[in-house]
Amino acid sequence: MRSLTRSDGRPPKWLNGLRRKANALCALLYVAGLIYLACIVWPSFNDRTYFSENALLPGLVDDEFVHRERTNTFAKQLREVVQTRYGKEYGMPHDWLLEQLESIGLEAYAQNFTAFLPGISGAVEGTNIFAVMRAARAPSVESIVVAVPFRSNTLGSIGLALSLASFCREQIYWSKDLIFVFTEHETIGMQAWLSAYHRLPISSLKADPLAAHGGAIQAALALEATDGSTPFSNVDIRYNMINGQLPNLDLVNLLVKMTEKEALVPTLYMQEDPHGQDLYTEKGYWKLAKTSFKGIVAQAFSRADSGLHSVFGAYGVQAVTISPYGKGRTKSQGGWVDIGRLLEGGLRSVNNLLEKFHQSFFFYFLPSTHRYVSIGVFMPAIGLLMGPVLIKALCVWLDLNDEGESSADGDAKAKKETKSESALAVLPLIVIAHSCGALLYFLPYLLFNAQASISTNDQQLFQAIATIAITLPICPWIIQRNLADKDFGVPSMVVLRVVALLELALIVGVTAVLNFGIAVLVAIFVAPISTITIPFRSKIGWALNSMALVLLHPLVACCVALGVYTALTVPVPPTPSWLAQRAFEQTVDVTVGFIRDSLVYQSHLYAFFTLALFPIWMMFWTIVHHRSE
Amino acid sequence: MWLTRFLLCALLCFHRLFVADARSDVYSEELVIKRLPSQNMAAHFRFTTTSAELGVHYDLFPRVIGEFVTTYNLSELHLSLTQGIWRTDYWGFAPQPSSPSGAQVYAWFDGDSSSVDERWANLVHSLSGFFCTSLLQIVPGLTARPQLSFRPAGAVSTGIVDFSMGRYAALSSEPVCTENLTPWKKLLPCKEAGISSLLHPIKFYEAQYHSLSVDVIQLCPNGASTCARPNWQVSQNLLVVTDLPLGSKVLNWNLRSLFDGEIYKKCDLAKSSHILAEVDDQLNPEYSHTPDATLKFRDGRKFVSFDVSKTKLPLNVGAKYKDRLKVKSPNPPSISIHSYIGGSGQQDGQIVTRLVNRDEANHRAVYTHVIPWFLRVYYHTIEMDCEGGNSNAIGEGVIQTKKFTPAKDRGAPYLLELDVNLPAQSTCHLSIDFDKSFLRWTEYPPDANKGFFVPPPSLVFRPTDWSNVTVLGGQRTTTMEELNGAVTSPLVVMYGEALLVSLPTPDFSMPYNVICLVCTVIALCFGPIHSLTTKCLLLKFEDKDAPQTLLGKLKAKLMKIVDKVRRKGKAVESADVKKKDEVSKKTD
Repeated sequence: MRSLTRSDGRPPKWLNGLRRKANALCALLYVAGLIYLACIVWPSFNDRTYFSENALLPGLVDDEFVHRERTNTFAKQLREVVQTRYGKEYGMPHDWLLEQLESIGLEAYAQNFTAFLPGISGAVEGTNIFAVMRAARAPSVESIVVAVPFRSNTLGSIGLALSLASFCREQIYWSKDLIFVFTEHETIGMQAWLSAYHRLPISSLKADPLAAHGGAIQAALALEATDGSTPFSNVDIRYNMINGQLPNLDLVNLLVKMTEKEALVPTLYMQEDPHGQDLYTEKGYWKLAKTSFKGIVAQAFSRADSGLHSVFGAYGVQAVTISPYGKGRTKSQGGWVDIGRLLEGGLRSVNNLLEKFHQSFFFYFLPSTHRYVSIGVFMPAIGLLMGPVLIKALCVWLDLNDEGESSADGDAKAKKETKSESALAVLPLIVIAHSCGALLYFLPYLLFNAQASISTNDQQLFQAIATIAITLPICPWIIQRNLADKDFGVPSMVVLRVVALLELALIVGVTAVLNFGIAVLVAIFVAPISTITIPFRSKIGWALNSMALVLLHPLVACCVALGVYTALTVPVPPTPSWLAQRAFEQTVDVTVGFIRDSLVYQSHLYAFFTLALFPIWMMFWTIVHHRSE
Repeated sequence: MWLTRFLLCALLCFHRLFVADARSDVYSEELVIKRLPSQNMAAHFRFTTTSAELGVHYDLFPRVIGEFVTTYNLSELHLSLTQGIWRTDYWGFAPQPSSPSGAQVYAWFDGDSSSVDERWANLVHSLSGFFCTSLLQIVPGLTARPQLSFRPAGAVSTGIVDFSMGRYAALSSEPVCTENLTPWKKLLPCKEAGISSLLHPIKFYEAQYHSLSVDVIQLCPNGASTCARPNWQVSQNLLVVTDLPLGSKVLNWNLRSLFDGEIYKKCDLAKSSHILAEVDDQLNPEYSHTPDATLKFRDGRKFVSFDVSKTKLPLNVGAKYKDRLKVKSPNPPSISIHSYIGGSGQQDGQIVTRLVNRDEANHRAVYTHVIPWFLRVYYHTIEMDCEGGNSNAIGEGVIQTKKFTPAKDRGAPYLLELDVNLPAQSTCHLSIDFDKSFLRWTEYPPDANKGFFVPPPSLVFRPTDWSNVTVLGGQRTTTMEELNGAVTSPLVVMYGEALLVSLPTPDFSMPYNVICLVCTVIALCFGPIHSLTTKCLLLKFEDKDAPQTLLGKLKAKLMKIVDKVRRKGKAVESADVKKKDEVSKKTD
């Protein structure tokens, strides 16, 4: 406070200097931010991963899982059962799984759940099968979860889990209970199980109470390998959880180490690390940059479809999905047994833990499986990128003061009045912008009531949202027209601009601590345009700025981003009409997906877009479309 | 010389004989081996010593226990140390006296009620020292005074139970190992002979569950609740459950395979010494040593009994099965209790207990839970929801009586005692919400991030069908006595799971960072706030002539200093002049 005023009431000298060179400084900071982001991926500016938690003792034991026969038998039997019962339409043979789990000496139980989802008429019903392997001599206060989704192509993984369960049951060293969960309907089943385990009911997901518990869950490993992808050469380690949560870095490190111990290559986002000699070369750099970028995008838009682990975050459980796959090369003979040993090693390490995971990083992004960028390193980027927004807000505010001073020849009282009046005049606009956001947020809840199953499909739901999201921006314009008695002069627009800039800086700053991915993406794309948005007087400036803002409209931005992504990933150059259609379809999917995630998994993405970003966008939209008369 | 030696020897022999005949203390030992419904093997050792009087002379009654009783003026003492948890759904009702995971100690005192707290604290210290446990933290933070459960099991001197004289505490974090078994074994009159020669720690600590306990009670003749001179009885129980032979699938067992030993010597001090094996008809076992065995029956159950004092030694009792192991689905007993923590996060949570009544009839039961003070529970959130097949039973379970003792920070735990009615064929969820509190930084144990243990809740009820009971016998009677027609003790105590709650834990590994951050924030805030609040703002007129450029400012400053120095010099000069003047005046 003191640094912005002097005892004589005037701003200090450095502030005047800042105002004079504000535009250059803004550009400089923004570019510096981008360069900084690009730099921290370079190996010289980040660190090698390491184990913080000594108790893990990773890879120190001799792996003993050798049950190739048992694994194959379980998988074969399961395939036969599924084939004979359901034919080509696969289904989950619950009783067979229960019987097998009981016969290998586990406590096996079933859990029914019913999910009511927007876009799907009727309820999604399913049954999870779970089995608790009680640790001998332990009082069942801690547990580790092994989760496998039941799908037509994960029968091999389930066979491996069964075989691993029977192996673990024969060992005497467990200090924590092991819980094996086989979920139906992927993450919906997992979420149903977790919500029942923690007795945290979800209104759109009715889950039966569980018949057995194993105490506090210390970690969860999800296994997801597609049948027929053997021999495995790689193991993809997926760690992004809903709402940008990340598991403790020690757990990720542990699985990387275990994968390498089994002579398999760990990957992130199906992307191999640069080789040792390539690390400091340009080729290596692009690999690191690509993995980092994928990590940031994955964190920003983390959905439940990345694996069963993604829903554990909300319950404070460290979880990772391991997904082995083969690249066709049969260099290493990675079979199911190797994956079993990988899991065994992971479980035994977690079993060694005396305390819950707390030592290593929770906020990071990974350029490769062996390098990490910690929160202390990446946060300055947010500061640099959002600096221009704050500087601009400050300058605009000070300009407003000066304008009042120079224009008003009369006494200071009149000057003050105009200022407070213009501030009051924008209040309705601010309220309207935020109410529009709130309306968008509650729209799915209004349209879709979880109890009364109104059958809305994806298209209808999206249309409703899109219509409102696109028509709402007219709102402030109409109000401006109709409330003729209020004088929305230029100063009031300037006040609105200050409010919008400050709100943007605040929201990005706060979000950066929780979800770096989405904060940095918003900062990169929204910050520059928001900084230059002013009530233009020239037609060209106005048109350009409107165009930029149209592109930034959350729905449009989503559609464009998906279109660009599709165009880049599709091997054959697509026709524009096909591309547009494809992008539109994907936008529908993503929008409805966000709503579904917020209903079932408590994802905050939809809330972030509607309650935080959309109102800010509307304020800028109002500023651009203000016509001074 | 030779004669005197002979006489002395003879005298000693006579004395031995005489004392043996007139022995007032009675020691009996028994081992009950049973195949549990889940096909695990359970072995229950019970060593009982009874003495008419505790005082100066001790015969078979363990002197240490006698001294505890006399020093602290105890009326009753119960201590149990358990590793693992008794899995009621799979194994049936726990043999009585049952025990929760970890340590449990409760005692009833006689005499002056004002000194009970002090005597309790000293007793806990003594027990802790003797049994090599770390029970000290239960005083006073975990000590409760239950009213509805954990009542005296034996006779009470006054005939009326005074609740202010009882103390109860459980400590779930207590690990149990051989250092606890050794002092426990030392209390036995026969350590290397008779049934106690089977107590080899290696096999016990390999098992799925093992529990050892010491229970000291007073007994009146004919089971009266009070009498002038009650007998003192110490019963030492050890319960072991072995794992299923999943690898070999062979069900055969014998003493050697179960305990790594046989009985080579009988215990001469024991009045009765029996090994009892319950016959499980379904699996067609053949018991070895059949000529020496006698069959005993009770409530349709069949037991093979081996009298160790009369059989040919070495004794290796065992059974051979034709069938192989087939893992069965559980057949849980009529009532079971399970507890878990609901909720997630660092702020609050819920303690949930699932009470299942599979019986056709309603059951009255007493639910007791001692909750440490650092979980701030809310009385108004106590809720009991029941669901069941019987339409009358659906809805809220009936809580007949609620007894709730609030906690004192660092002084006493919450005590929740509920007299509940469990509707027939129902599953009830009993829940209570809590907030997690912040502890002082010295109160966190080592490995603070492991979490904090909450002792398990207990459920006491009266079963209607005694065929459900796993091992006969209870606090007052042994299995052998019950087989011979003694009355069964009427109550079953069962425990839920111990709970692990993670409290908000400071990052102990980063004190340096924290100190730096806090100091920086304080320094940044302190400067401006201090100067704004202590300085007074004055209107300052701008000096038009003041130099504007950096060089000009420096020059002006320099000039000021030069000016000052010059002025000082002048002052000194004038002073010198004055002095000189004075001097000259004086000389004048």
